[in-house]
Amino acid sequence: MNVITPVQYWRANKEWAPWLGKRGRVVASTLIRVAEGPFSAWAPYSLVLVEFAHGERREFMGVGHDVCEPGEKVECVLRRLDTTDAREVIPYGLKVQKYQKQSEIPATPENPASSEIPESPASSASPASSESSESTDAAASTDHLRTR
Amino acid sequence: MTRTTHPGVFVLGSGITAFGERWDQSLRDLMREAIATAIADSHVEPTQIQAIFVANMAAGMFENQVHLGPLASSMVAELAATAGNSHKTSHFPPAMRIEGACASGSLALVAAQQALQAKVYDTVLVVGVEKMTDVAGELATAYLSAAADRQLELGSTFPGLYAMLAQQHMAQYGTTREQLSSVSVKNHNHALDNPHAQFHKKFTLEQVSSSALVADPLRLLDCSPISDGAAAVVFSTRSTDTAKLKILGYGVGCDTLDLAGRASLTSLGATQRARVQAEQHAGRSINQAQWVEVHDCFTIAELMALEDLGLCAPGDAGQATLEGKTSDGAAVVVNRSGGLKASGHPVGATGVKQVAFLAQRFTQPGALAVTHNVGGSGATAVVHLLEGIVSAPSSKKQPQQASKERS
Repeated sequence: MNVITPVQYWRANKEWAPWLGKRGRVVASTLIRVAEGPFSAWAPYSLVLVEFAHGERREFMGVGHDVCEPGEKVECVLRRLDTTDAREVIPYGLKVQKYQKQSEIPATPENPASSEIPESPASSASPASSESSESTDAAASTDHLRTR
Repeated sequence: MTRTTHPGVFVLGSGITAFGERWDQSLRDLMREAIATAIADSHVEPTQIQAIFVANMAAGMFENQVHLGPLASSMVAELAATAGNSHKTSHFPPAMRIEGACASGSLALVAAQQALQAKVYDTVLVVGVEKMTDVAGELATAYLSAAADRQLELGSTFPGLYAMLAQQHMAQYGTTREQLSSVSVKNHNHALDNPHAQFHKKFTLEQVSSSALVADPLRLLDCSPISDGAAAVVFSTRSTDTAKLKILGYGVGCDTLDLAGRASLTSLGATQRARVQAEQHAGRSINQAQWVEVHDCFTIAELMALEDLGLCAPGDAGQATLEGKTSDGAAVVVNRSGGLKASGHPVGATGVKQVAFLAQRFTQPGALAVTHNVGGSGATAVVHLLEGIVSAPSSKKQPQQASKERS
């Protein structure tokens, strides 16, 4: 079962650029130990609800096996979603990874002490990851539909 | 919604198959059994069924079978032919399928009631069915995930989404592991005398609390199972001496598909909206209910349901459950069937089964019962208020016959 079909992928990847490098704070999280289909390869992985500046909220998978807790700071990165080794589309998508600079995280109702910062440009997205298996070379472009 | 004058809707008959891994029964076997049982229980002739509302979420994915309306219609036609001692019949009632994820069953009940109250029909059949165990559990989980937001909740599972709600509830109200476990223990106890239930097995608080983690903090015994099963009811605007329940009102609430769009992560706005509508529609308060069947797809879901329905103050449902205030024998009994947790959760059948179970077991004339059925992680919620009515099991009067006698 594919995470995403090629045409869905083509539509979706055009929406990723504004998110890359955005930093926010985890509002709710869980560690998914039993996952569905192709996501099973990543389990256990965090599923987090993140609040960004201006109250914008969205859910993401966490990178690798990182355990993200409420209150922690994260930033959006592009990471591989599937581990398929067939000669098919390699699905990438948005995930979040932990972000260390506490002072640069926008304030949220749950964390009013934090100061607000401008949103980071997409070019600041860090490709660094603890996941050696998750390719990061696609972060430089927003059109990542490719085959091998 | 304001309360309006409308014909009363009565539950004349019900049928529930055994829930569980029914490897020897197909989708159509389950449907046929529930339909035949409900019609027989209602004492109406198959030819009196004027329309059919079929509830199903995912037979297209699980069984590669869609277009369930004509399938159900054919089954009623078979029953009509058999009743008429014939091989053929022209009685194929119009039928349609209703889908609303795990709330499909209750939405089909609502559609049926609306058709009855609009006086399009006077007697209809509602059947809910799901055949989930013909595929591996991992695939079933993937199919069920289609009820989440596939664009905004990639990588989510339903245990994962409810786990985040549980985490928030625990953080805000101090809900404990033991309180979550008490929901599972209670519902497994309740299912012991339900012949249709998937599980007839008692668990202790410690067993639930030490079962395998699925999505922190939810554990295996916090989760409802994957199930096969079907349930059916016959509704009519014409009461008979065999009628079991009267439907007083219903409400349907909606919210965003994704959790991120919700106003709260410790309550379901859809349930609250459905509750207000249902109470206005019925002219009764849910606080008067004696039996409540709620959507306990996960233990946290039951606690949130009790709070959203106004039966407990926010944050109080866990302690009330732990103290036995929702167990059999209490003033308000919650999930006497065993709920989804122990009775099983064939998703398209669940909402119909809640009403069918009450029709079979809620024998308190004039007393109030409530059902609560949720789709997705709370994007759809349906609430029904039902009243027990005097029942004379030995009577076999037909709806039209009874109506004529009363007039």
